[in-house]
Amino acid sequence: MNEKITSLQASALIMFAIVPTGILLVPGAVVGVAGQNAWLSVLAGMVISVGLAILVGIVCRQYQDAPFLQWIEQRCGRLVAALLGLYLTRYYMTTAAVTLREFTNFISEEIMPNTPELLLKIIIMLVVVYAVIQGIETIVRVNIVIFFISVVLMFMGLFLIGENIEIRNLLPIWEGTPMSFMHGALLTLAWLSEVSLLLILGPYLRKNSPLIRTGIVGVMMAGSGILITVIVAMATFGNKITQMLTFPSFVIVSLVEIGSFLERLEIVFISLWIMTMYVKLAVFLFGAAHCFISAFKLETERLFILLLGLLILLTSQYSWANTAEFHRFTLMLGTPDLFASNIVLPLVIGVVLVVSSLWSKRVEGSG
Amino acid sequence: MRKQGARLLASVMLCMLLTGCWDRTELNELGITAATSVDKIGDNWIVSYQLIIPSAISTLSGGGAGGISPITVHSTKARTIREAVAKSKLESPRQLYFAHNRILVVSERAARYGLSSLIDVYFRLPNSRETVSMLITEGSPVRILRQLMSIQPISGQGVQQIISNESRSYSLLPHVKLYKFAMNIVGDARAGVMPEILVSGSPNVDAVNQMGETNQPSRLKLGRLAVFKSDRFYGWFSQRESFGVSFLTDEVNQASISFNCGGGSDQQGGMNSAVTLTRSQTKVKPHIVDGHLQMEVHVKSAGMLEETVCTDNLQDPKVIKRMEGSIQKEINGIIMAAWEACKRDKVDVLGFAGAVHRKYPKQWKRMKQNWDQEFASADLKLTVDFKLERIGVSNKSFKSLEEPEGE
Repeated sequence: MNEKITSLQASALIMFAIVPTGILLVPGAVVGVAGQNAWLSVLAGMVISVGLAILVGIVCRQYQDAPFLQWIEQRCGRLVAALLGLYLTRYYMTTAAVTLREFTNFISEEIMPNTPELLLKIIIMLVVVYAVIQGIETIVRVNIVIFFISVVLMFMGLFLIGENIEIRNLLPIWEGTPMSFMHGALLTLAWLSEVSLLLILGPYLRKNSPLIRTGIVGVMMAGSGILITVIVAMATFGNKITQMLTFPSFVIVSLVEIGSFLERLEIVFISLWIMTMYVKLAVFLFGAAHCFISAFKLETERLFILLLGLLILLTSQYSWANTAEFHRFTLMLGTPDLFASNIVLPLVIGVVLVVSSLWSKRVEGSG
Repeated sequence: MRKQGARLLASVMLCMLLTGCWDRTELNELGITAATSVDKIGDNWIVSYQLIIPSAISTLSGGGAGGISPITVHSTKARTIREAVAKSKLESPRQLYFAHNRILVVSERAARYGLSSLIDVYFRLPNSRETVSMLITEGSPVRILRQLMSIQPISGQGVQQIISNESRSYSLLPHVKLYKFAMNIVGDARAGVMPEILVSGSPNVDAVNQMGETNQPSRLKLGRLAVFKSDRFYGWFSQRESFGVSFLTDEVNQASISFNCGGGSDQQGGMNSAVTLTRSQTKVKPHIVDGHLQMEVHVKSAGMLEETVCTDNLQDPKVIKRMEGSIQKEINGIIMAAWEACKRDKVDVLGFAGAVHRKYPKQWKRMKQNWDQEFASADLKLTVDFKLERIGVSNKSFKSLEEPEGE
């Protein structure tokens, strides 16, 4: 708990815990369910996620200087803290395994189809485990460098793809059903709900950091990244082709052709995206390690980080036989898991807080 | 110190493992494809590849004697497109590399069968480019790939430059990229277009020794405009009709238009003057009047006089006004030719379906069931506004100087 990070660093970290897989998979998925209304669905998902960021910020305020699970232990007892620690360790590990799978799926499908995925996973996890062992401060410092490069490249990318964009492809609006619109919004919310990472990051923030603002800024930056990607994908390809593409963001960049000397720029963006995926994986491995170590008050951190990394690697490699099975898992189990762990859990904690403070007031009053 | 040295050595050694792993490919193991063609005969797809021979190109650019063709063409045949591509390994020492493929030529036969599987391959495989330029040809497309060009050693690249320059500075035929074609045929109108490429003249120029002459007996040339309903070829539009399609879809950048300047100076038959359109903009507004669809099209363009034999005073605003009227009439005729062709074939390659969908989303749900019929029975309300902004650096026509003085 000696390490301290700034509010901007934490917001950028939340952003990159969401954006790498968000820009890769959300456009195709949301356009698939919400059709022409996809960009409005993303906007609605963003608005709801701001509410979630506020809730998480309020919960975080209660224990700003102590680790989350230590605070739970004080409020609810040792057993509840240990069980919650195990649950959160499982959640962060599952998300890391899914992220690792998405990462290697992309590398295999787009860049290196002949290299065994296991080898790619081993190389990736070695780097990630090393980063987590160095601590959260190291991760956020690397992340902030990537953040500034990303902002510059994003504006450059928008400028370059400008000529392929046709805004009329976004029209007409409000064409689908309210159900499909809400489905799209909830799908976006599931991704943005990872703002609950603030529960873990909160105590690492410098004293008196604005926790609610940190969460809101993080979720708004991530949401904006996804929104821009969806709008650009739809304006470039229309909603039908966007639905068909697994990774529309990179296909958009591959359309850039300036004369015959500047083309196939997607590799520049893929390189940057690979960096952000390392950050995302490091954040989730850090979350798993943090929960496991503080739930059981362990002292040998390095060994457990290594073991958790190995477990994530094996889960990612052997849990799903093929891409179709993996997509089914993320849709049927992954999304409900995101809702349960990132939305229901902070809500339950919030309710417990309110009830317990009311109870203690009542006890004081009757005493 | 020793520990740091060991770490540094370990890092360097680890880097050796990261040289591309199983996907390592040397440049001299690749067969770089500049053009591809697809044909369909019976149940088989015939895929042909125009491969670049880098050593022959360097000989040509270095002013060497040449003698070796800068490209080589071969074909493979199989039941699916990818199986045909895989079969190339039976005869090519190099692995085919499609990332620099410039053009994709489909035969009319393949286009009549349907291009869905071809488009699927392009969207599915990361190696292929969705920006490849699509062209169609009558007969065997391999003839297009074999034809050599005198100016551009790699003819695939040359054809791509032709269509790119033409669409930018002449606007008769559109430059159709694969992803745009795919978007159009799955769009509201479910129709698309593709320019024709053909070998004009005979015999084919497919040997380097034929390139020594100043005039080759045959050359690659753009032709008509192919029209597609869904992924299948439907028919041909003439170049004039195609030009009209360019106007109606707002794809005219620059163009050259011949016209009659009027005023009794019609010495050379119909057309005696020419303008270059320097800009043009088309706005399409659909209206539903008493349940009937009416498309309001307004074309606003401007240009510069480039040729005339009119003896009138070109600095007289009345003369300019009269010329503008003639050009407007000519543009009107070009657009109406395209409109009549679209109505004749009941094919909406003009994007009107999208405009109706955007403006009347509720009515569109009914109209889309029978769009081709609705489209064919629609009315076109066309207005053309042309401004002749410049007359060049000559105030009078040369013809006016030939007339005797004092008359």
